[in-house]
Amino acid sequence: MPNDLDLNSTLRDLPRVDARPDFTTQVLAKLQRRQAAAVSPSAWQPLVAAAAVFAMVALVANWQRRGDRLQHGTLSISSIAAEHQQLAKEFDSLRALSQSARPVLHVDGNDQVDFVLGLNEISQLPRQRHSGVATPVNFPAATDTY
Amino acid sequence: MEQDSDAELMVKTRMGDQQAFALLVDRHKDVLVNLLTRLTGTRDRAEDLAQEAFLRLYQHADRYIEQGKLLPYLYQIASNLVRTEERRRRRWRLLLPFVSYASASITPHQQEYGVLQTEAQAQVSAAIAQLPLVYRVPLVLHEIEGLAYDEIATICGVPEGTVKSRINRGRQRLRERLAPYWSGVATCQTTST
Repeated sequence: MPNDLDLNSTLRDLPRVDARPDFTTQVLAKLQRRQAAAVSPSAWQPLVAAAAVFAMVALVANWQRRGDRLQHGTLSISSIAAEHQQLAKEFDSLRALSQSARPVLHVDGNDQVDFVLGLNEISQLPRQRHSGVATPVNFPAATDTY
Repeated sequence: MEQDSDAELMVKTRMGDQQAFALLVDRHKDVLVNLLTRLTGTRDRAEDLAQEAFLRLYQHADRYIEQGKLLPYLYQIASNLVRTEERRRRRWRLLLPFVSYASASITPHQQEYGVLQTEAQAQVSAAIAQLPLVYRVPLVLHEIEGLAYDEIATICGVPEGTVKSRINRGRQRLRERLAPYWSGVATCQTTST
């Protein structure tokens, strides 16, 4: 292991390393590059103003779009609610009809009128058939003489 | 202007006079590059860091308080730069485990052979560059640049007693690192005689 004397002399004998001849030129060039890169406030002020205007326009547009969407949503909800009410009313009337109406057979009809045959009334028919002889409508009694 | 003192040149530099700044650079560049070469172990890194130190001096010239100690102030900037750079390198070493820091730090020393005259000097220079920074800075400032303990204490921002103990520990570590080489040299000398 070296003693302190060896070490100190070795450290002091280390050759000095000087800067290269173009050192100062390089420092000044770097300084100028940095100064050029640093954007002056007068140059970035219009950019900031433009960015602010753009942000404001975007904000207003977004707010308007959100308002439209909200209005559209409100309309949709009210129309769905109205439709729901209508359907509920129709469903209630149909349920009431099914619970109270007598059994019928649908014969014919259109949008306004339904021709139905009350099945309770038909149940009387067999008894009537046994009570007498049916006469065809198209053959009057006068023809029986032939 | 060339006869102006550092203080006068700094006043002009603070006002944006680049000619005065260039004179300051010319005046102190060799000392700073030499110090940084010893701290980093490579001339290229030393020149880069020295240029950065001068640029910081220019950019923050208004922070400099005139006490007739411009060179210690520059030393302080330079040693802070070395500390920051080594911290960054350490982080990179953690991030990139396949890029060996050891080999990266040895290769520049091999480039150093052009600068260093003898093998012994190359060994010493490499050993200094591998010392922890807390020992390296005061050791180099004291042993190579010849600064007094109180000046080093100001630069490092630690008490004088701490500077002395760090220099001693740095010297001890340096001896330990150089021991294998030293014994090899001694053996060669004994064999040749």
